[in-house]
Amino acid sequence: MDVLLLTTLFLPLAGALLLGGDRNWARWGALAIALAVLGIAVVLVARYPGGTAPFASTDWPWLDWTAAPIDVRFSVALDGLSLWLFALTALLMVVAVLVGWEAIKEQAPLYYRLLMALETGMLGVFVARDIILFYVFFEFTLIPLFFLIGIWGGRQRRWAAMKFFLFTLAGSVLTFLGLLAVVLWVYYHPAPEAASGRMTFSIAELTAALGDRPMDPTMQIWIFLALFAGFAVKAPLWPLHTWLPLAHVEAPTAGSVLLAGVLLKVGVYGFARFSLPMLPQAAATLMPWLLWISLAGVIYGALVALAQSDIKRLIAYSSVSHLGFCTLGIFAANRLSVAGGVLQMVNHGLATGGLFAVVGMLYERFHTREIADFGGLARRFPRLAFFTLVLTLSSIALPGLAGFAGEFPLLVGVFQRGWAGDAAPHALQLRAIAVLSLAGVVLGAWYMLWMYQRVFFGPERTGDKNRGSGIGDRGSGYEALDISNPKSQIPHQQISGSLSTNPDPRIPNPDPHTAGPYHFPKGEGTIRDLSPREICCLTPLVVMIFWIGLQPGFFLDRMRPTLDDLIAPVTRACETASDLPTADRIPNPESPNPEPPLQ
Amino acid sequence: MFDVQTLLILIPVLPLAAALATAALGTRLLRGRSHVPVVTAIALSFVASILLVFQLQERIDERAAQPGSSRAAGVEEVVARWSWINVPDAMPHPVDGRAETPGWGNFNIEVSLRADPLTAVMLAMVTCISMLVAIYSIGYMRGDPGYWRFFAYVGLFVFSMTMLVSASNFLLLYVFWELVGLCSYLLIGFWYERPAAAAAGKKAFLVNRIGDVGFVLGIFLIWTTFGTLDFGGVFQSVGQHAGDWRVTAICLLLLLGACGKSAQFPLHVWLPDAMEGPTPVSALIHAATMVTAGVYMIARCTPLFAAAPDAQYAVALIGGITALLGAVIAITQTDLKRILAYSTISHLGYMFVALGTGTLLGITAGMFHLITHAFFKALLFLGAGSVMHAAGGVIDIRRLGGLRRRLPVTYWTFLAGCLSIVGVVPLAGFWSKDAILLSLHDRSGLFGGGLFEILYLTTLLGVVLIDFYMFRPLFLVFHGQEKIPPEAGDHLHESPGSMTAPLVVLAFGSVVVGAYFEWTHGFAHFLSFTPSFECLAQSGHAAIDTADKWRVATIGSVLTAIGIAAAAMLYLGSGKAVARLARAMNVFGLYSLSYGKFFFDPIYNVLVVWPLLSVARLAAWFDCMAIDSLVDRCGRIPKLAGAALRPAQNGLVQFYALAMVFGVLVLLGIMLM
Repeated sequence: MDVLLLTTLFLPLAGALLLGGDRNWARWGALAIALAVLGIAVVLVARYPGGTAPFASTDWPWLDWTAAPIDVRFSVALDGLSLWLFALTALLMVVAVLVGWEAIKEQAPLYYRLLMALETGMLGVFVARDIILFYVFFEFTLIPLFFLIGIWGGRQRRWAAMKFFLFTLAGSVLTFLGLLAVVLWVYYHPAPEAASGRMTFSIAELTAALGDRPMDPTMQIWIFLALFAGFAVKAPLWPLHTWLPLAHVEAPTAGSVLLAGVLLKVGVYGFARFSLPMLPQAAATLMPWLLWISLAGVIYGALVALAQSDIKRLIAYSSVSHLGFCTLGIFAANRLSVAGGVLQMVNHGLATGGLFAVVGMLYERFHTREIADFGGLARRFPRLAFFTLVLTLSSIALPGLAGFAGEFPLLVGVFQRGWAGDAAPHALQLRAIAVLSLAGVVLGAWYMLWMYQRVFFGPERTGDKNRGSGIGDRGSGYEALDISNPKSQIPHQQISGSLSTNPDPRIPNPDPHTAGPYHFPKGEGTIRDLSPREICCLTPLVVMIFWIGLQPGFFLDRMRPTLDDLIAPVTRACETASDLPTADRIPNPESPNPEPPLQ
Repeated sequence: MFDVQTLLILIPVLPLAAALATAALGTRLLRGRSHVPVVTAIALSFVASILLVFQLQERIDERAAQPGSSRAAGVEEVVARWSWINVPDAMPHPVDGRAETPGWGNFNIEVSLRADPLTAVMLAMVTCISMLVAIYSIGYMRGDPGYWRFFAYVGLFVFSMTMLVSASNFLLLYVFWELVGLCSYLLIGFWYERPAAAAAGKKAFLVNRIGDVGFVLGIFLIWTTFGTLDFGGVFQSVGQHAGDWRVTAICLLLLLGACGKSAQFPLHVWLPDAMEGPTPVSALIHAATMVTAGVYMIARCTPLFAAAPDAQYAVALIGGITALLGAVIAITQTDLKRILAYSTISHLGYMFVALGTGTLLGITAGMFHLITHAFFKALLFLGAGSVMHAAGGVIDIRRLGGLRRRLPVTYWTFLAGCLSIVGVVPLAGFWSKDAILLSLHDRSGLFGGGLFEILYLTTLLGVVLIDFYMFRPLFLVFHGQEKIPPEAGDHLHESPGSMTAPLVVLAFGSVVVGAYFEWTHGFAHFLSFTPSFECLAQSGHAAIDTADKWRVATIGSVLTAIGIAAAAMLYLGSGKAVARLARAMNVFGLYSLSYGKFFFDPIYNVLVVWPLLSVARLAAWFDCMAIDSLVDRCGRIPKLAGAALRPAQNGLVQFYALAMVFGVLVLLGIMLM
């Protein structure tokens, strides 16, 4: 098993180094690697035994040749928290390779090498069991994405890439300081019996040590805030989200898919992996604040999404809203909410990743993303309409689809946090948050269905505004597509003001029994419904959405033991806080009154 | 033969399988025959539902035959096939010493179905109406480009609706509550190229979502109060929470959900717009079945509502307001389908009023009216569809007239529906209306008046109003001078057999079903063995005085007769009388209010939609101009800092030396001090 896990890390890395040749070689090679990794991931998931023990672990000493007591290790393993995010990454990478299949023409080998490097980074983040290794992968994901956005992005790609990179980096430097502080605190407060003088970076050991000998609350809060800086930017939490819409809009489709599908989860994953179990007292004390911020993201993101006219921006803001739900679940820190929150991360990856892929497919056909340029696509693009409908409905949490299976337990958990116990501190705030979070559910349905209605329903209209005509200096990415692909040139169509009772003369054969390629009267080419490649791209997402929606127990059962372990300290901290009038007591009376250790 | 469990599973699964088959094969293999799987499956489901009713009846007979058995014990059977989510010990035990149900805090959601008399009655009604409407649609939808799509959606709907009424826990109820909403969304927007249809579908979904927020909050509160979401567990432990404010809150929240789905004031605005869908859909989903889900849910939650009398008053009050509101608006509308939609809203209001009485009599009456209403309202809608079909899609009653001779079957069946809905003795509508009046009369006598006294009078007023708004379209469309709109062309003719046959069957049902249920006492007896109604049986209700029965029936019938006569005088004569009356009423602004539907849509637009959209735009502006620009400013800090320090790096060695000396001096100074 451990060999398999290592393969998933090193195979894409090998691809990143070795892929070459022409565009065809590169993309088939990348697809083969992504499929191989997906296959291995499936095997690993199938063999995953459940429970709390790390699975498929590898643990090599890394810096043991130095004299320093620093025990950094190359330590990777799977557990319940990382299992599904790992699998999601492997799945979305296949999608990401496929969505750019035709669109990427310039410097294709480099593009696929960067994608492979990104895959190693993303998988590594989720499986790393050593803080330094985690941080290496955490930062490593930035670099390929920086180039992906900066080279193959839209018109403002350089600005977007720069902003994305600096914003995230600024936050994660603080996170690194926080992580180091955790390591040093444990180093200076060793267990009485163990006096090895070894500075451990192992996440499991650090968590256990902090469980035995908790830090004092003030220290916890400072470190929590330091960790928060990086993870909150990454997630992104309101108001640190503004890099996200820009990066999404400018990124090539594959970049958007991976950014929404996987990279945003890294922040939430960090909260669940580090912040909660290591700093439970701070998480309990700050809980109302954290929940308010998450709630602000939920409602604010939904409202801003409602006002968008660009599909990609709309979905980007919907991500802000949905990630707000995820953090709401994580920070509420009880069994249901955390289980729902982690499942919701996977669901968001599937649904929103899929929606970004759909936007890419629309853009390849019509060269516009303005909602106003579309209308009535359902008639000639029934398959596209079907897939988009499923993704949209999952995104607004329709029962039977994945979104509901995550959102419902999540919201029950949040509600429970406020309403189950009368004596909880901040009960009133928590109650208000639980009720207000449902506003996000209504608004979510509003903007998503409105978007769907405007794009797929109504009288048919497809605009070709050639918005991308301000071609960048290097003419790569989508702009290149605009000139070099005459097949996709369609005549400019005026918006038809007439109602459907007046049949559009441009539609020669409106027989839906034979949905097929449609020839524009004056056009040079055809615009078709989804190609087999695009169907291959979306089908796995839709299948998973149905599977999770119909049988979430299968997914939850495998991650619950780990999650229960992770949130146990917070639960204890919350209970202690509700027993005592003042929350600034140390929960564990056995620990000697610790002075702040870092002078 | 089939046992209860198998039947219970077969009833929803058959339509689902048919829907999937139609969706998979519709475009290629089935095409014009797309109706075959769905109609067959629904017919089989209907047979299964009838078998289920008989099996339950057998058990009830056994129960009744046993000596010494208490009448109160319900008959039910639960079948669970798979666990959806199971999170044990998800919630800590209550700290304030509240009572706990067994299995407290186990978030174990099973896909479990329940058969009891209430469910069986709903299943039989749903599958029966669905079957007839599906057969009707064969003719109505023929030639439509989306023929297969229509039947796939209908199959999906029947699956969802049958699951909804047989769900055995609140979460499952909510799941299918949403899924019928999805089917409604898809079918309202079936002709998605019409902007009005697409917008109406979205509006229906969103208004329902607002109600659903109430429903979801209710479910959450049930979870934290009772520690379980299973009907059985919740209803059994309600008794321990008597007087708890939480139970009242739960009921009010559930009521909000029911208001959304059943189009009750103030969330009724979506239903008239939903008439943009194909007419069979209006008949099936927006008249007979889906909109009654709210009524069903409140009937199902009777134990909760029985423990919260205030919530029951709210149910009755909302129902009363809606009943009157719908009736007043319906009188002046000119679109036949919208008239019927407001009539549906009004009748659902009656059902709510009946449920709000909180007596077994009232709840039985409400369910009784639900069944009879399903028959005659489906009939009326399908009749309207038949008119539309003949008249080339025209549905404005001002543009139609004297179609009696052209569409004889449609006319006679529509007339039967009209007579039934207004409550002419001995048609179905009479019996159920009478039962509701009787339950209100009974209740208003019990506590010396108050709310139920007023509601009783309101309902009597409604009995008169309904004559006007039902006979007006009948007279205008079928009587008087023949008016045929140009859209109909020169081939205005009666609909094909596949459409008229369901009309005849429904007309037959509308005529006899009430009398049959009433005379055999079968319905009330059968329904009283529902476990949910046990709590009512214990409280017991006084045997109804026969004199009261006669009095109520007489008052109701006399009012109906007066109303019909007045409507005939008004609408069969020249239009002058109507115009005079309209002008007279408009002194109080009543006519304008009614014609303008009490201006709910513009008011909601001004109060909710526009403010929210403005806030959304403001937020978008704020995001761009405030937050993001702040970020960009922060991004400029290093550059500015660099610019500030740049003069120091001026390249003059003398300056560097001077700075070095100065620095050394400063350091020395610090060390010496």
